[in-house]
Amino acid sequence: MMMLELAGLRRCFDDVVAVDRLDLALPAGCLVGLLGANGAGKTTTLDLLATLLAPTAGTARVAGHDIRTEVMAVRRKLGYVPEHGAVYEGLTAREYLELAALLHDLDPQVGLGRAERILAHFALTGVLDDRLASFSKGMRRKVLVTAALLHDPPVLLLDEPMDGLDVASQRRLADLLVQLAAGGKTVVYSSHVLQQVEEICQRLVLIHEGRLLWHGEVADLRREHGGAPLTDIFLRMTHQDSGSTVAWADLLGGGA
Amino acid sequence: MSARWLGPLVRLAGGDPVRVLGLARALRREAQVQLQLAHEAGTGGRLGPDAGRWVMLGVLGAMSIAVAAAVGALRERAWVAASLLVLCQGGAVFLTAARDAVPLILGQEDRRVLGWWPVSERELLLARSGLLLRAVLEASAAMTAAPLVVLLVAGAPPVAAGLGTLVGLGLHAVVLAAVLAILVQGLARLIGRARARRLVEVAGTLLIVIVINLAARRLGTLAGESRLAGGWALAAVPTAWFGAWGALAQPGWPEVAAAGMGLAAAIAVPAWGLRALGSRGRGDRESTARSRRAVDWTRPLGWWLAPWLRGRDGRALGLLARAHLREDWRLTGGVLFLPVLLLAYLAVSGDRLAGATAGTEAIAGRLALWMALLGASLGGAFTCSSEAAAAWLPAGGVGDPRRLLSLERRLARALLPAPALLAIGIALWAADLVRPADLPAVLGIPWLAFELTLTLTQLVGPAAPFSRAWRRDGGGANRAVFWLLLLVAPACLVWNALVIARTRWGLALTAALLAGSLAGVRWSLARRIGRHGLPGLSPRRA
Repeated sequence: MMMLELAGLRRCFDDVVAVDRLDLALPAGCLVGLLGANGAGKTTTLDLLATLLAPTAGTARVAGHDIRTEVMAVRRKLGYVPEHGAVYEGLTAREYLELAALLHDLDPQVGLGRAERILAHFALTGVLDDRLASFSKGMRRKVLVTAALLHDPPVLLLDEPMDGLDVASQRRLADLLVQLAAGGKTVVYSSHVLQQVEEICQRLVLIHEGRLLWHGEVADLRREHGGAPLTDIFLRMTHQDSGSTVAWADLLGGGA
Repeated sequence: MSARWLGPLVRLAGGDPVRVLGLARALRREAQVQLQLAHEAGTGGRLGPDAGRWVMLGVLGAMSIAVAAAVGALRERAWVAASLLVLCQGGAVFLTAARDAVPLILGQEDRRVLGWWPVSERELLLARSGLLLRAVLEASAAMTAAPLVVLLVAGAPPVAAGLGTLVGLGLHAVVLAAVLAILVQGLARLIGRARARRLVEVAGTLLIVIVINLAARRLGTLAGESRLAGGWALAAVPTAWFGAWGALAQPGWPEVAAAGMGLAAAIAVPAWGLRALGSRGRGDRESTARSRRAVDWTRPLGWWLAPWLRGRDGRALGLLARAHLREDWRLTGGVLFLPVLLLAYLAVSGDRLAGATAGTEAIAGRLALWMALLGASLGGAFTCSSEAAAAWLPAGGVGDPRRLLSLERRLARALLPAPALLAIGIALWAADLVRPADLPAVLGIPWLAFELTLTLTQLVGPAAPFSRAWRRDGGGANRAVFWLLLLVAPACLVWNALVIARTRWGLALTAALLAGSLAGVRWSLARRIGRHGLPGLSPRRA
């Protein structure tokens, strides 16, 4: 069974087409890297799958549920770590995670037990009763990842999940994602850091200006491009020049 | 209120009590801590984070005593007393609900925090409405506490009248809050959340004033007409029905039927509305991402602001103000509509004022009151803005507190009294209501009143960054100033009627008093800045 199926998915913001007729199918048990330049439509795609946005046209199914018509069922089946990382800052980590457990219909005690173990995995202990307002960016990110995993969802969407994490936590999260995929979950990992994506993902989805450019195994992509580094392949496929060397004085206008 | 009481209500509205009440508790805690954090950050001025709320409740409590005296005097005419109580309580509830409904119902924060969690729109709406209901019941209690004591003691029959009224007023508050929540949510479903918020922000102030004016002018008449017609229409209003203690001792069947229908509707409409609106609508899933090509409609404003905001920091402030006006439609609404309201007032009252023996003085006095309110509300509008991310203090690069406050006043003058009084002056002159020679006096007094309240706002909450979120509404000291000013508004009206409009020296005396007060407040502000610096700009002292 395909856990994520996108069929002609399209989203426009007024006169801007952010996602343009995306077709894609991802099975259970895969860890997919979602790549694209700034403004390519990665976050919009994830927001559509997470039911934060309604599609302008087309649709998608998450774990068999339509994002247009079965919103609550979709939300029960997925965990999402958004890029912006917004939380209720006035709540403590315990209150926030209790709320997450309650709204995912988990027993609060069971949920808190899980949360403590997941946070401990990320070396975040003894702060459950601190306000989230006092947390650093990385600490918040760990709490968001914990909230996304709390209900053991079959589909996991992560938008720049490593942002703000220290090296050890990045390693722990990467290992955990590989383990989750091996256990049958579908994990979509969006990032700008190509090395990280290449390191942990077996498959890649490359989008450019809202359209699907390429989808398949990382090894196949590199083989097609003669074993070139992923960065070079990405720049070539998205028609971006890595940029010739420019003198700073020229950028300042020649007066410096 | 406990889950035992609220649970059945939530279930009736189609929600799961455990989930909705848990969500409501978290949202309330979040709001409380945000207020506290804003205060700790030092941007709330000298008064505490809850100052605005307590001052509002104090003002309503004071009004409650006046209403209690009227209710006691009118106890032989139960319908009139009940109508008065309903009107006052309804006004307090409506003002509170109108203030809180938009940020609570149309806020974007929930979507960013838990938009992908399995929370239905209905559950979120019910949790947010619970917070609205709490604020509304507080205002209702403050407004009606004293009259209820009077009814418990002197009603006919005493205890039954008091308890009946209590039940009716509670029901009234719930219905009004629910209806307002439904209307706001319904608007969001029709035209989208972002558009609905902007529309309400722009037109909200004007609509509130119009509704209150209409209610004050028409409800008393309607109540009288209804009573003459048999009272059945008024009996359909549950609060009036409960409040009219003793008047329905021997009711006819039309009154009983009307009361029954009113009661049923009061329960059914909110429950049905919340159920119906809980389903998904067009505005439920929106992004803040908009078109990349935006028309800058504030460009002409830059030319208007330039002479007021000179210098490098002045230009920076002007740019920030324009960006802010594009984002914060409530401020835009306040800037646009209050002058329009003043002109409308002149259009409506012009003939009466022209016919008065001291038209010039009456106009000046009334305008002064309006402008004083305008000055106070401006501070609130500045500090409670919705979306702009930039704080103007550091972004403007202004290091000197006195310079900053001076720039803030200049900006306020340029945005509000200058265009408003210019338009009003032209209107007065064109309609031949005021002799050209009297125009400086007619416009000078309101200007002084505006300056006074604006400086007073700076005194209690000097830092006015353009970066507050809706959810922090109600915590600012500016709200306290606004409510205090509402308390002295009747005194201003009496002063206008007795001194300005009737004596030759009234205008001169008022001008002298305003100027003296302004000098005193300015001196106090300068002294305070000299001693303590400016919160948000100067380093904090432990």
